[in-house]
Amino acid sequence: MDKKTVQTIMSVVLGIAAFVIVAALVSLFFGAILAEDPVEISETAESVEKVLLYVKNSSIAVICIGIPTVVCYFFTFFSKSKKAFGLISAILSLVLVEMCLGFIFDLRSIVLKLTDDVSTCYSLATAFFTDLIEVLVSCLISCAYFIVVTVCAFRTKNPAAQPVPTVEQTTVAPPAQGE
Amino acid sequence: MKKIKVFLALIFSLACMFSLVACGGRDGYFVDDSANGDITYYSSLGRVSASVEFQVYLPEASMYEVSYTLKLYYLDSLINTETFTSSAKSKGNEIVDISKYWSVDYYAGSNVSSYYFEVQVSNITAKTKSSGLSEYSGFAIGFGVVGGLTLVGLIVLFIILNKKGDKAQAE
Repeated sequence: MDKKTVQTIMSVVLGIAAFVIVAALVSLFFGAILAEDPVEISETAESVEKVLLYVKNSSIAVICIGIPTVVCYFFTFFSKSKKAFGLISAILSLVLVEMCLGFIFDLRSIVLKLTDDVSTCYSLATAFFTDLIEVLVSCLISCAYFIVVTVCAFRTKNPAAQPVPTVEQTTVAPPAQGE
Repeated sequence: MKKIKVFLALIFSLACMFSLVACGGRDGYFVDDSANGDITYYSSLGRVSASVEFQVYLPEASMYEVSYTLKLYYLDSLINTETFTSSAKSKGNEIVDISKYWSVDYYAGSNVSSYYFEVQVSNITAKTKSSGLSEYSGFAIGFGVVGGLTLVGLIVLFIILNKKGDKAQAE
């Protein structure tokens, strides 16, 4: 495979990852809006209410960091300094990955400590984990893409990173025509 | 540069507007002369049971947390006091009934009538549940501020870097 084909494949994978992130963020957004509905419809246990509040607030937190991350992806393609925005995109993706991991393990530990209606709480938590894992995997792919692209851009533009010609390459002269 | 300033001012004013709207939950209040109840004294059990009812006006379509204090008096002397909270749902501009059955262990004597007992309801407050800060709202507020600032920073950086790129191309 030549370089252009690899770049096209990577761009397509990034496009799919970005689409999945946007879809998961929309899903989290509606989840956050509708999170308190079960409390209003019927009497719910205090533990369920606690999990719903956690899901709602952490969803908003992920959306708040997710929006600048997706916007930064677009800026990377449309900006004139792709290296800077590529680096910021990679950092933001990594932040989002860490946030998702943190929320998953934090909520899991909270649910395991609860004493009443644990099965309902755990099913609510796993539904939330599904969206977070989608964001996490997509962000990891995007992060890897932006790191590769940015590192390649730095290597090609920076003369210090160019391979230094060896002694053999510099001394060997093309054979003379008369020989 | 002027455009950036106008843009930042617009974002700031929108953020202020949204935060004001979010903090605008209106409290409910007690409906005058709506309290009534029934007190029964069981001398054999040494217990006073009171069934109390009152109404609160809830202005917004939301879940409310109604808090109130019940005081039990016997011949004008305070016997017991307790604070209760209960949830109430309103569809907006609605008067909701709050009722409570309260039982207090107290022996006043064998031939004492329920007439000498009195229950008072006081400190009635009705606050919207969603307007109060929840246990995990720090996540939403903290990351919301960070995300907003990051977004503004990215937009400003995008504009500045693109302008620099244009200048470099022109030179």
